[in-house]
Amino acid sequence: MKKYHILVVLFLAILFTSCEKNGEMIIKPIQKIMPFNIKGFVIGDTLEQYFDGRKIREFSAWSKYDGKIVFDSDAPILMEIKRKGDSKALLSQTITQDRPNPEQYITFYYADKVIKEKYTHPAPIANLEQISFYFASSVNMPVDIVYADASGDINAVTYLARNVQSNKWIDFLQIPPLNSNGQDLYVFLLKAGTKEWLVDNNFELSYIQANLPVDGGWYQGGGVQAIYIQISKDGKPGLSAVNDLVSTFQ
Amino acid sequence: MYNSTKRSAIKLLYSMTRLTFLMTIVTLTFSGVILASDVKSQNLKDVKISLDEKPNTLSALLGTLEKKSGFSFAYTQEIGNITGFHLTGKTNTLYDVLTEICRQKNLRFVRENYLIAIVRAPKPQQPGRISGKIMDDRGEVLPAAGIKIVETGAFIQSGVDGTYNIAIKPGNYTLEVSYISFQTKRITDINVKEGQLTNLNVTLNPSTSALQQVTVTGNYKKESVAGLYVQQKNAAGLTDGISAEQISRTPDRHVGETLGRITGVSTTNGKRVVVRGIAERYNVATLNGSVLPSTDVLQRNFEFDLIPTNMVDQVVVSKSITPDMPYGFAGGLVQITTKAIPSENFISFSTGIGINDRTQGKDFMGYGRGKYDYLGFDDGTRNRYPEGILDITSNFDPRKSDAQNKITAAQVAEQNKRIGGTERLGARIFAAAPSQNYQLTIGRLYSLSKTKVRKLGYIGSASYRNTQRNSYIANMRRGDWAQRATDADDITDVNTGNRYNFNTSLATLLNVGFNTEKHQLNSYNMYNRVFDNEFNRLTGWDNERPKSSSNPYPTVEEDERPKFTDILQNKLVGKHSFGNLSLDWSGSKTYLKQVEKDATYANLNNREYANYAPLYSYYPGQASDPGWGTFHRGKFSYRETNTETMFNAAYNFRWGNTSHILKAGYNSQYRRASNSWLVLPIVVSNPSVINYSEIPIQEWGNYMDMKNRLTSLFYNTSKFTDAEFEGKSITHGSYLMLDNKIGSKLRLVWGARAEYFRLDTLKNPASLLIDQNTKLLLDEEKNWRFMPSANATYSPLSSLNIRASYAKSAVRPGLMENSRFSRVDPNLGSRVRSNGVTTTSIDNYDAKIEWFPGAGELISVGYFYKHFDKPAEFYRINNSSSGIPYVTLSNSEWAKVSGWEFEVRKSLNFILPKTSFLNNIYLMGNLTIQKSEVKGREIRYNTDKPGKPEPYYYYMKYPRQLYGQVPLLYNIGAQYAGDKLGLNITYNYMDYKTSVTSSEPMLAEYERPRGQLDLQVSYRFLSKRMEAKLNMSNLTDAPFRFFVNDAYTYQVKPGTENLLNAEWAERFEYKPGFSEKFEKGYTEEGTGILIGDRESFTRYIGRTYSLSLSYKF
Repeated sequence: MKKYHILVVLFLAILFTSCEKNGEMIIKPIQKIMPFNIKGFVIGDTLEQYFDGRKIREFSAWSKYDGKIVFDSDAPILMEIKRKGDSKALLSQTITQDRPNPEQYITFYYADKVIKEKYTHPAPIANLEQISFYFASSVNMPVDIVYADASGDINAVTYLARNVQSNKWIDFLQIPPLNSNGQDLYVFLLKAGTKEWLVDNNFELSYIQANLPVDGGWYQGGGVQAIYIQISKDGKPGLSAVNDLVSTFQ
Repeated sequence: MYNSTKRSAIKLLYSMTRLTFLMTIVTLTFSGVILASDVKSQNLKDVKISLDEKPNTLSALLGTLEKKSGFSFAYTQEIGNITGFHLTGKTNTLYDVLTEICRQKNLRFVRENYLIAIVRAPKPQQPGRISGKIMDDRGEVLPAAGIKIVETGAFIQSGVDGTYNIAIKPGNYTLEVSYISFQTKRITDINVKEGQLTNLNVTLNPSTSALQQVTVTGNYKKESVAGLYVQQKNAAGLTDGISAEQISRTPDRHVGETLGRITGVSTTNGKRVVVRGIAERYNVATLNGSVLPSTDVLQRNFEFDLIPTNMVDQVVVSKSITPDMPYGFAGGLVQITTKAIPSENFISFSTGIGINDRTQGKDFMGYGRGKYDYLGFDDGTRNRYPEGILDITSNFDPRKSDAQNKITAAQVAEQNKRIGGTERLGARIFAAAPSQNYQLTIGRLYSLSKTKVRKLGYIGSASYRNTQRNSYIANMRRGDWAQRATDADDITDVNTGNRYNFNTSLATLLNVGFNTEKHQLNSYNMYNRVFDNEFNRLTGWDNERPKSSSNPYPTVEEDERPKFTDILQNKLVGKHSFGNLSLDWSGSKTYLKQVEKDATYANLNNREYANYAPLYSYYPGQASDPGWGTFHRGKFSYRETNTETMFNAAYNFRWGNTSHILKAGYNSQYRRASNSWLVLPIVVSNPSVINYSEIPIQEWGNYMDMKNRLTSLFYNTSKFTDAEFEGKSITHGSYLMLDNKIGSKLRLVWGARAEYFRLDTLKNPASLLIDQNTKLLLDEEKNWRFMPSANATYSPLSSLNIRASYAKSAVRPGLMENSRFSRVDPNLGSRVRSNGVTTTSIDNYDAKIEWFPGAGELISVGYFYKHFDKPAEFYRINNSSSGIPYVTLSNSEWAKVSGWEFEVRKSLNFILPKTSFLNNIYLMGNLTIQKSEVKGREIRYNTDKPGKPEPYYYYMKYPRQLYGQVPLLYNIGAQYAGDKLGLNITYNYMDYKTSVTSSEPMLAEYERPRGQLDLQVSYRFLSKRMEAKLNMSNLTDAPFRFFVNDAYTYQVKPGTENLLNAEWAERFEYKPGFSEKFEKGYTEEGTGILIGDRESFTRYIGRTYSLSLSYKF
């Protein structure tokens, strides 16, 4: 009879040790929801945002999230920003439920493989407009920066900078109020060293939204602009994703 | 092993030395005393011993005896350590004490004057047994046949089932078997070994002359092979099967998995059977001869995963019909037989453990479990369904005051409270336990007479199994899910998920039988309890909101169906033999109860948060929705009772040199079924005030007090969510049949059956608002049907059969098939609604040639043709106002199915006949090739008149394949069955299968070809009492894949642009490179659209490895 007892005990032991009534909830109860805002600019790379070690989203170029953060326990939440290529943590912040000014944006600026809290720029100079450009492109696509009126006459352009290389900031141009003969003036891009508009040789497609000070005009300068613009798509010229980093970080 | 032998030798040497030393000392010391002593008696029977205490060990007892008797004892230490003997009475003679101890412990004593040596006695010889069955040349059993053992003169008779069992001393024997009107057979050289069973089935041939007594002599080897032939020839006719021994060579857990290994049989989801490509509803399942109820609420179907294989003695699929079969089928009759009365006493215990590579180590999800889920019972936490539920939808509008409503807010709150809370709801993650199974089986046989057959026996068995399986759904594009990716090259735009099955199965069986030479009474009783909790969790985009930049996150859908099934079958069978007349009768009751308790459906919201992209949450439905809503829980109860009676009489007679059986019988079947459902949608009137998405669902019960009728949650019940279907059917059948054996080569079985059937639907409410005004369209039903059949078997050689048969059969509608209850079937991914089904009448034609080249070997080829009048099929149609296609069951006009079947089972002994290794290797294979053609018809609704839409049939011009059809099926395998080692490898292949049919390709669905490779290694040890089996199933991790021939793969035929109401084949043709088969296609440049077949559903079940141990006591 002993062996029957052993079998019965073994059976019951296996049966009850494997029972598990309560599992772990997939959707955890929400303890608190707080505002959470983050914005920044990423140049030349892709960054990843992690919360408590879980990747949530990717950042490249202009990046922003305004919304809420969810606490499902008393524990603080660790936010990290990591570089996509090597997963190196560039920024870490612990978010607590008693965080002061929760609506305030967390900001970051990433360029040249370095992350900073903000983009920095020169101080404004009265009556001088300071403008820098960054032409992002998957292939190097040198351009000439010009300004002109809206006539589309390529022979009537004035050069601001020549043979500007892709994927780097140019030094700030200092532009005094320009003589426009009563016309509005615009910034255009030409293929470097040519008399050809950058995009499809069409001046309307090669125009950049940038403020130029005009003599006697509504804007007399004194501002600072750092214009980031994507100038190619799949290796072909095309303007998109225009951002002024100075206003972005204000 | 070496050390142990060495230790034993040293021990023996030590014992022998000690014994010799003891004997020498005793002899030398006491010789004088012994010789001089006259005062003590030398007769052990005169020496009285009084034992006041009962010593524990033999050495202690002998010490006491030594003191009290003056005799000395010599024995080894091992004998001295013996315990567990029992002595009765305080005063005994020394002789009695020693004799009793020696009897109990298999010892003997040797006396030399006053020295008594106690030594081990040799083991007594165990008898062997001869057991088998006495049959005639048709394989029919011969009751009360005389069996004489020539050497001993002993005589016994076979039982009414033809079986006999002789216990006899080991040796060589000759049996003489006789039966009136049959040639007596003498079988020589029957070798009986100690403790072993010698199987011998004996076949007697009819005597050509009634007066002349003829005795045929043969040896054991020849007769045992002949016996096997007769069984094969009669069992392998137009039936195919698998025995318990063959089942034990597979890794199958339940009968559903086993069926796919039989020629011409395939399964759907491993639990529903398709025979010869003919779908589930045309097949009938019986357990010990009684029809099993339908376990699928919406169609005639039995889910074979409910029967564990370890309870089964054999599974036979009959494909041709004889008039004595009381069940209408067209594909096959699946006969499951549970283990019968044993031929010897036994106790066996088996246990096993298994893992699945897609389950273990992965998250296992489900809603809250009950305390007794592992035992297969609910602990009460799923009981949320009280009686007397109010119709809230029709009588309560939360926007109105109590004075304006028939039901007040307080009454709604009271009902909410009665139903109870939501604590169990919400998905959780568990750890998946390995599968475990245990079975204890006891068989006992009592012979109540030494001279006559009076056998009483029983088999009792209890088994437990728990299996947890996680299957990965790699693709879901059925039902409401997005039918295609927005951009076919976006690998993230896919709907995926998991199906989790938590299954506990308890099965008990008690079969009792009593046999005499002429009578047999058997009782079969089986109770199965199965708890199967299927939880589907899918993540993806639905058809109305496909993936886009504004809808980047997928939604989640959860569907949990905790189903408790009870099957109880009690059956009493009697067989009686009165010379040439034999009678058999049976009565049975089968009860099925299937309850889904707290089955829950939830559609989850998604919302992006900083730390969740997205965060999923449950949300209540809208109070204004009269349907089941986005979140509902429910109870679905199906009950069916089948009561069957059967009576058959057979009369054997001879006419000249021919022998015949005239058989007649009657059967009745009464079935009653009810299906009730109570669905509880959880809703809110104004969802904008309280954000329930941010409140855990387990706490929703706290927000049901209706103090604020607009913001409170409540259970929105209605007449559609709380109703019951009820139906009953009665069948009476009678037949007359002749079984003619004309000469030794031709056998005819022919006759006719008359059958009365009536189905009454007692209650038939609709479960959806949209169905309340539509009515079922039914063909006129004939109550009486007359069904002739004939089977001919010609055997030009003893090892060859040529068979031909014709039979008419009728497949009646299932009790629930005309129900207006409809529900989403997770296996079809669509809602299933009936459009009304009537009887299908089938003409079946079969032909088959069988050759038995050797014992256990078979080569056969067969052809079949079937004509169906009004076949019922699963169609997918899209005629509802919602625009979402659904599946319906409805009759087509006619169908024709034809096919070829091949089977080979051959030993490799022909290569080197004397090699036992090759003799033990068998190659097996079966192949089925079939095709079908259907004249379809479609129900359309005339909506010209206001009010109720009028249904009518539209008859299709172009034929198509039958639903469930598989054009090619094969199984191949190899088996090595050595003395101890066994190896078995099988590969099961199923070609394209029509899963759901339709008049348009983009609504029909096919299953892609699938092959499954299984391997088993077994080894027997401990004198073959213990067997270990390692099973590996689905070694290639073959998925189940379904697809639809998408509209992008075909184009409008030129010139047919204006034929808007024409059939598909008139208007369309496949584009170059595309056909009805699966073609992956390509992504169209610019649009990102897939130009190819749509993969509608893909599921991986993983590889399973299990180890089992069984021990026979």
